[in-house]
This record gives sequence, structure tokens and C-alpha cells, in this order.
Amino acid sequence: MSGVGGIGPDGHPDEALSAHVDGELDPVTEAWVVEHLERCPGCRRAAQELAEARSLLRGLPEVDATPVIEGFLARHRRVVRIGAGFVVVAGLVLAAIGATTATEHPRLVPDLAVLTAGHVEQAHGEMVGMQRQDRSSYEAPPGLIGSAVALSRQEVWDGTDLAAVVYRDGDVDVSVYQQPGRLDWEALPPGEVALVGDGEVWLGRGMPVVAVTQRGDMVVTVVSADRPAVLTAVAGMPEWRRGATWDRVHDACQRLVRVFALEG
Amino acid sequence: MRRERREPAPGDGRWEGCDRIPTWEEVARHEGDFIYTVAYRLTGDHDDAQDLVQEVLVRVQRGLRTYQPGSLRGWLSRITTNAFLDDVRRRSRRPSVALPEDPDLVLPPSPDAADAAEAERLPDHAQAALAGLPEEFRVPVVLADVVGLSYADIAEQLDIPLGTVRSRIHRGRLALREALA
Repeated sequence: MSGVGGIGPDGHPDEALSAHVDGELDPVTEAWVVEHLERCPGCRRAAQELAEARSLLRGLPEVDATPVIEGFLARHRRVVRIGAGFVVVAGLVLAAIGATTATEHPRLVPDLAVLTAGHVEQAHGEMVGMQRQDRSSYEAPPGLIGSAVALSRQEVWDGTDLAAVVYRDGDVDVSVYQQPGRLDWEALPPGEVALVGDGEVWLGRGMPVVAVTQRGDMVVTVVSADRPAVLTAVAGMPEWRRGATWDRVHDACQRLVRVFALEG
Repeated sequence: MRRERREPAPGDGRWEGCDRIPTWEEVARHEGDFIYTVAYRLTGDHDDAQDLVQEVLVRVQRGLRTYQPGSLRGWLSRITTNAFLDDVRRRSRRPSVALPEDPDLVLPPSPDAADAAEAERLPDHAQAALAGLPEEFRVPVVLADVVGLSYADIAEQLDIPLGTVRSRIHRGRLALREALA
């Protein structure tokens, strides 16, 4: 605990030493500290070490984030052209910021009722208990009309991070959800387990069709009224590492466009 | 990837004191390194820093409508700090379950993160020491030594008394000194 002006009860500068190093002391206290340092080798050494710690931090290089920033800007301008027309990709990111740390990989089973309702009602932003929503629209470059990517970030009802991408065109309407964690296969309701690619996928028996699988660090849930579309979407999803949430979401957007629009 | 680091000095950026309000893309392009660096020093993790930067850019996009030309970096550091502290608060409310070790889940880092990590290799002991500070000390230290804010600006930005700023910076630096000894 420091005394008045950062001077310790023992008469040494204490907190005033850092303020001295930063040039943040009033003139009277500064003069006192300077005078004290001239006769106190211990405080002189402490001030020197504090100055070194300060210099070390101030000497840390600025990180060149150009690849990150340019990638972010490019994704916001993404336009996908299909034949003579354009496709609209709507992306919703429902996530807490940086919420997926290495120690947070809960064993989980997705709330299938909520995710299905979100898909059917196209109301991801209004799902029960969501705490905040940030939505951004990104316009196509001049001359290219009819294409857009919309994003939002949210924290969902139960504190679980959820990222959702919704792909729509005239024939297909698919929602893909990602949640960081390990899928608790045992906790899934009765359904069918199919092999899609190299991975097992749980398929629900109701409508719309729901598929749940593990893809890398992510539990992936796909919902659509069209079963082939569900399987196509599942097959198109990669082994995601946890990484930056938005990177995964934009990656999902790209892959859905590729499998449905470009290859479909 | 490594750049010469200038002494932090909010006010020396190209938009400081400029009457024109930059566009969102100009902020992203010209101040992206600054935002990312502050985000990385605050979070201590490249994945979290990327998420934080993207969240900051979303907030910047909304906030530019009401931004008053002045200290752009001061404004950006405030947004970055607030977004970081919002996340810290959310995390503190969220239960976490440790994941058992599973080598199959260890996937390679993204190229962006790998590049950034390479850029940080030399001073990583200082970065590690900074990341090891409790958040209440780390934030004012970053604002002072990475952003270059005065104690008064830090107090205003964090809405804490000036004496608390001085105390936290001092205790943060003492802890750094110990960690680096």
C-alpha cells in the first residue's frame, strides 16, 4: 500500500518510481524522487529495473497483420457468380468473441430443437436468450449486383459459442452450425448413423432433416428440409480447428457455395 | 514480418489531427497492425487476437458514423480494450470444462497465425511475461507501453482513479521485472 503521491510508508518512492520513469509525477514529487534516488542505491536499482521492463515492452515490434486484415477485407467483398446469375449467401455468426480457448472444449450435444427452430423460422438472431447481436452487411463491388454476405456475432442462450452459416438459393436452404467441443454421441436421441466421407454422421428421423457430426474441433449440425442437401453440406465441411471464429464461418460460406452453386 | 517499432505515441498516425473521417477500409488497412498488436498484447494469443480484431472492426464500422476526428488511435484503443474486457467478463461467467489430451485434435495453426507467431519469436519471453500478468495489471500496462497513453487517458478510458492507474502500472511492471529476472 502506498502513501500519498505513491511514496511508501517507509519513506521510499514505491509507486512513484514507475510514475517517475513515465514522467507522470507532479513537479514537487518528481524533485523529491530525484533527490531520493541520488542518495538511495536500492531505489536507484529498482528504478533502473522498472525502466528496463518498460523499455522492453515499448521495444516489442508491431505485428504485421496485413494477411489477417486483407483476408478479412476480401471476405467482406466476396461475390460468387454462377452461370448468368448470382447467388446470395447469408452468413450468421453466432458467437462470443474469442470464446474458444484451449481449455474450453466441452463435451456437448447440440440443442437440436433450438437449431431446427432457428433454421425453420430463419430467425437465428431472435433465438431465445441471445444476449447481443452485431450484424454487418457487405455490398458487392460496383457493377456486380445481387450478391451479399451478412454476418452477425452473438452469445447464445446457454453460454455456448455457436457459429451459423445459412446458404440459400432458389432450390436449397441449408443451415450449418459450428460449436467448439467434442460431440457426446451417447447423448444424441435415437437416429441413424451414416458414413459420409471418412466420418460418421448422426441423422435425425424427423423433418427437417438434421445431421450432427464431429469435424476437427467443431461439433457441426446441418439442418435442411432436403436430405441430399444435408448430406452434401456435411460432406463439404472440413476438419475445422478452433482458430478464429470468423475464419471458420467464412470458410463454411465458401464451401457451401462451392458444393451447391459451383459444383451442384 | 518484423517491423521497426517506434516509441508509442498516439497522435502520430496518419489520421491523427486529420479533419476527414477515414473510411472503414482505410482504418482497417492503415491501422490494422496497430489494432492487431494491441489485441495480441491484451489477449496473448493469436487466435483470440484475430477474433478480437474482427470484433473491433465491426464496432469501428458502426462507430465511424459518430466518430469525431481527433486521436484515432486513442479511439481505436478504447474500442479494442472495451471489446477485450467485454470478452473477459463473458468468459468469467461461462463454465469451462477441460478437454482431455487428444493428439488427434491438435491441428496445425493457420498460416496467418503461424506468420504472426514467427514475428513474435524473438521477444516472446517479454510477451509471455506480459500475458502472465493478471488482466487488471496487463490492461493498463498495455495502454501505457503499447498504445502509449498517459496515466490520465488510461484513467479516463478504464474509468478508474488516477492513483489506481499508477498503482496497477507499478505493480504490473514489478511483476514483469520478476518474471523476466
